[in-house]
Amino acid sequence: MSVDLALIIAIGVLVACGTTLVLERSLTRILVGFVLLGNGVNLFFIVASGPPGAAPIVGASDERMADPLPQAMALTAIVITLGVTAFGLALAYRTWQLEGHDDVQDDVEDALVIRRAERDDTSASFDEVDESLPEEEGADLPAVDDEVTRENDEDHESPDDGDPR
Amino acid sequence: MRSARRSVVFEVVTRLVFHAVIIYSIYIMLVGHYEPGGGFAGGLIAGLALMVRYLVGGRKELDAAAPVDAGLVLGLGLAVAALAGLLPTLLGGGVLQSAIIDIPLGPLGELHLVTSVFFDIGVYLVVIGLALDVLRSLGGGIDQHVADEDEAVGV
Repeated sequence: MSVDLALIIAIGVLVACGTTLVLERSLTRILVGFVLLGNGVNLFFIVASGPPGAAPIVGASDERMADPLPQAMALTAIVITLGVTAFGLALAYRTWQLEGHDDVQDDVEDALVIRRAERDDTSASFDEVDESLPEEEGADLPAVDDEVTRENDEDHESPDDGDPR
Repeated sequence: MRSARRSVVFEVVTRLVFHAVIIYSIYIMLVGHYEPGGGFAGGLIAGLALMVRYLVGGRKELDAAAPVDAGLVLGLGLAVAALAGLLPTLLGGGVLQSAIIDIPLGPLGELHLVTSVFFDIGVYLVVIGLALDVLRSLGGGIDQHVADEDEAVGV
């Protein structure tokens, strides 16, 4: 199957620009990026649907008929992009109205996870000791207190039992 | 709209073209059974015509062009589309099944009516309602907010 090179290049440019813009901080740029991305993906659907052909009605023509499914999916995607664009516009305007800018906020929880990872702490939802599970890693590290150490020793009646290494 | 921001050419051309575009959108909607077109494309064209009217004269011009509530148009379109889908079941057909009725119109010839056009009319109204809603909330509504704030500041 031969494909249109110009369309492929257009898809690449649209998707690349869209991805770059979606990764920006400003909601307006994210919105423009989303529209570019949507158009790129729609074009991709059309290219992937194969060469043009006759109307997809059985018996209408002896020609090879076009595949109607990708076109229907592209139409649906256009409508969804329209809705998402309207929602994004409202979101950007509301943020601008309330805060004077339309930058996406920092994810506080995400920043906390990054800080904990840098300090090599366990996360807040981590269970300290769960005796129902076999010891996996870190049995050779210095324990937090004596009681935990003793329990770990009792668990290991046969040495290195359940240790994957 | 303030006189400094008005464009006479834009206004005149829009008012000349607006009605032709609405008629064309209805034509696109009706012809959808035989040629490219249909309720969605027709509704988008009508929505674009309304959008140009808003760009020309702000929210007052839009209200003059479409003096209806956007929710009413949306609901009406949904109701028409749903009825067009359900009525055939009451008449013994399948969901969304369409019938072809030829109505003789005397000297004008014959009207070849395919009942699926009523579903298209529903879609057309839904798309126009959506365009109106977006224009009112993100266009006219924001203008209203700005005007209210200017008034509160005392400009």
